[in-house]
Amino acid sequence: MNIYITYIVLGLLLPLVALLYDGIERKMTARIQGRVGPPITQSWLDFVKLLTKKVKLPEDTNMLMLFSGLVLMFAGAFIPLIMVFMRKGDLILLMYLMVGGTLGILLTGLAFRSPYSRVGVSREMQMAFAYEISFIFAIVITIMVTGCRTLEACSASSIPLIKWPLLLIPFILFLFVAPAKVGVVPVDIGEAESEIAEGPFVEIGGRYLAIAKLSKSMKMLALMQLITLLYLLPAGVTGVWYWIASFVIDGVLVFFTISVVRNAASRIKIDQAVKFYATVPLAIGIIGLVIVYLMRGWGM
Amino acid sequence: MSLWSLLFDPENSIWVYRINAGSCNGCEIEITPLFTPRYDAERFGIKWVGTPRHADVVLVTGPVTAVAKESVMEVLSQVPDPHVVIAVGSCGVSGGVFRGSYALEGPLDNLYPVDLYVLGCPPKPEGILTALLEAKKILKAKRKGQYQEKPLVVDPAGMVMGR
Repeated sequence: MNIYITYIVLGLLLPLVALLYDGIERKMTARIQGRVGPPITQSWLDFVKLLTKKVKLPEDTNMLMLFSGLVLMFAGAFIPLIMVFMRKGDLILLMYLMVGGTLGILLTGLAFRSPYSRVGVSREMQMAFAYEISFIFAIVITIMVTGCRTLEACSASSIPLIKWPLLLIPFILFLFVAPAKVGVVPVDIGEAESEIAEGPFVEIGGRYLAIAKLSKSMKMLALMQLITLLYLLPAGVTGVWYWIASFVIDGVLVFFTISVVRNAASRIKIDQAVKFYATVPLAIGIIGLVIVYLMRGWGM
Repeated sequence: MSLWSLLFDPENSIWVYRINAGSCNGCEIEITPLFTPRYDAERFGIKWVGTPRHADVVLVTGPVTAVAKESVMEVLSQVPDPHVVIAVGSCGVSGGVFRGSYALEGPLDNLYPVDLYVLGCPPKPEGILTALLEAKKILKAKRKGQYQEKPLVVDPAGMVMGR
């Protein structure tokens, strides 16, 4: 009975925390650019504002596609978020759910006839083909090195990266994939705000856009917590300390993988991004897989 | 700001969309600095969006030319309620030096209800920022259904007239 109450409380609180992290990220970006920046509750305020707006959709919207896309997008961010914070669930399942979130974005974009949304969907699809394979490599190498397929089994007395130095390979892969998966500036080609007006989300507004924005924030927090859990946090940490350590490390990760990256680079073109993800992270993934396979033969 | 307004006030989030209805681009050059470190409109929760369907506030620059009229009206019809329309610059307010020309269908308030006018050719960023902050109050009144249609005028230095 107690566990259900925990799940309900987490299900209500973690989306708010995700929006807060989005606000912190915007504040950090502003400080890097020498601006004052919005209050850290700004993303939450945007969410509240979008709920109060009336919805105006084009007449020929495919509502079935729109709703299924939004549900997939939400589920692909919300369920992984709960899974990683409760340290329960299967890594392979987590991988599939997070790919499902990308599928939701594609379905949402395809519900409209706007050329911007079609261009956005096309680019999002190309990006997904380019980076998801590296994400899968990262998860597979992690499972091979640590030998745990579920999140609760990944228990180590010390920091995983120090106990298994080979985890550095998937960790670097994750750092490459994180900006693309969250969709921030150098590689947010599918949702380019200033270029194709948020791509797949160009025609939706009001509460539908609120769900899309919330899903994006939750995806960011879930990915950061997954990196924290798999590589940085000792499993012996429990209780209040677990939450404090998670949130602090997540904040540091958001700063280094999202804020710094988006301020250091401008948006690249889709062919450049696909070429990059199909060479560097993929090569690291393949070489890493071979190394890990050989090392396992020597009993490491 | 109080804790309530930091947490639950929808007026603290304003997304702005801009329409060029035949402007000479002078007003656009003055709008752009709003989002630079010097004026930093994002500290008030003002954000730039690329599509009218996400917008709360629409800035219209330029006298509405005959060619631009159809597109302007279609874009304005896509903005969800509640929204505020701001006419920016002398041309947006009155037609400016082009008033009476055969090529004009505007100024904008002949075609669509305008809530705020920003004077100046071009207006200063201070004036546009003041207009955006005034738009917060208008949006609040519109959400409560208490809005009286009494347009305000913002002069180039950022003074609000007509209250």
